[in-house]
Amino acid sequence: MKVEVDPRRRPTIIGLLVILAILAAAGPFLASNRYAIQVATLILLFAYLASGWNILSGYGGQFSFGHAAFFGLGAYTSTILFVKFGVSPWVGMLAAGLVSALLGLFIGLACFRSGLRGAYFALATLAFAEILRVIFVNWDWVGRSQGLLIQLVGDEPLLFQFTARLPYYYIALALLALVSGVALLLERLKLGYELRAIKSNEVAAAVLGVDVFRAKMWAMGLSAFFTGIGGTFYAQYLYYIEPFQVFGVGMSVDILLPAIIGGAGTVIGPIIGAAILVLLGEGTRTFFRGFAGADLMVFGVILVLVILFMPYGVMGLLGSAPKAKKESA
Amino acid sequence: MAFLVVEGVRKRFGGLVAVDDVSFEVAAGEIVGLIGPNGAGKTTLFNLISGLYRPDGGRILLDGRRIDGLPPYERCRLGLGRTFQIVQPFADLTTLQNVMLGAFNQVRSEAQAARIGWDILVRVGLADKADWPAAWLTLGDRKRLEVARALATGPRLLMLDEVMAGLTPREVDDTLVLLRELRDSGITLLVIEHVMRAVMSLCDRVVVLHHGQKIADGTPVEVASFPQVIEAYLGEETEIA
Repeated sequence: MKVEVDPRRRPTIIGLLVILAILAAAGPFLASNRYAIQVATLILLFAYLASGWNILSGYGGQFSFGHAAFFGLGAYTSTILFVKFGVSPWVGMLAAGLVSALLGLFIGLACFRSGLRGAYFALATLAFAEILRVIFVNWDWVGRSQGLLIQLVGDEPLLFQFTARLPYYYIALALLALVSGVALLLERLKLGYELRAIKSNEVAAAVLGVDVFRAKMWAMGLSAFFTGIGGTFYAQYLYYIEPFQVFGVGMSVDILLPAIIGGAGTVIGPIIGAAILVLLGEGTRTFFRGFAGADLMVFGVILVLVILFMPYGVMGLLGSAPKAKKESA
Repeated sequence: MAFLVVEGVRKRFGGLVAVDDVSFEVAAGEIVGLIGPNGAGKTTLFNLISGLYRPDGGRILLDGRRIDGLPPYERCRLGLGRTFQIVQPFADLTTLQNVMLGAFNQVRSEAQAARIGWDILVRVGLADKADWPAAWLTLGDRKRLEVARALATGPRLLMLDEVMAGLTPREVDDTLVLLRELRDSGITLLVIEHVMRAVMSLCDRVVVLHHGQKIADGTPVEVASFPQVIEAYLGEETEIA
């Protein structure tokens, strides 16, 4: 007989295709309003970044609190290559992914070999991001705390520069489609099974034949690769990077929150989470204009409530995350 | 040569010698029971054999090959499967996917793993819950899932840690039937069990541990008459003035 491996799979694929199709179709309409296209692009970027984080931390359960390390290193890699050596940021983007993946493997080697888990692993990743921030803040060649400015060359698609905003939107959408496709594939691969098993119980996974260290290293490498690429996109989108922003704790939090809010360890969760968070952020900022800081306080309270009452995120409410329907069983 | 050889194995935790110079053998096709009071060192011995702990001394051989220095996943690949006393399904996976994780020890593709997993779910009577999140399963079903997962790795030696504890008499009988079938299909079994009815009817041979030491080794009937065994279970005689 035909065995259905996971009843959640078909709705996930259909849901993802519908979301991507709507986003693709919405581009031209959003582009008619400069603010709308910026907010939409921001949603796509953070959906993409959270999806990359999700590979290591959502599926694999290795909670990283320092993905800014990969993001910032990616941003600096392509920017340095362009500003100092004239290398196209498209090439720089791939280099950024690879350099960040190497950093990920190094951090993985340091943490996973010594058996760091849970909060200790999270703190170690945070420490690596902070170390990089301090290095780049004090490094003359890359502009110290002033960071690097990318010189404008006009509409040069081959140099990743566009005068219109719409191309950036579609590049971010393509990146999101890519990482979501990888997540879907991962759910079918041995590695995806291993990661989800490791998340629940490393010891049980190990005696069932899982090389825990190897699986974590793969997750780390993939996750860091995608995050580094996101750093390049960010740099090309703003034409400017500085270390406090790209290596900051705030960036690490912004990367992981959409996955937590939307549903960690799901394909669609990070996309929904990013939409909610970016719109919520813009909404509170507009609403509390004139009361400096009030928007962040309200934003924080809403986050706390969501985490308290929706431990599996929005996808948990939809019944797409594990355990969500326990009571009705 | 015996299929599993445990030779002078020792494990110490601080001042406590949990397993003290234990030696025994399990022949291919045998069902051997590992019994003893709580704290006797049974689960520690399982952890040593499956690779969660490194022994402080002694050797462990599987099918003539020394395994005591190998990590757990390599021992699994050599055909060593085990279950845990405290059942712990992978919460993010369905029942079938839990079993498939074990099957990936034998095959690479998801479709192949699903076929192996499905066959095993049918065999242990969990097929109707295949697409449930494993977290929904009852204790009895979780115990079954625990066995199913280990079976899916394709073990030649299967070590079961109290798979019958907490089960109803009916479920115990079902499990006994399953274990005999497994033996008949060529799997060697080493079982920790407190359900004595199960031990006496199932095991060809019983190894008794007490305070980390082996105090008896023989058929269930022989072992039950050993004075040291009776003493270990009932406590030493105390004189009451």
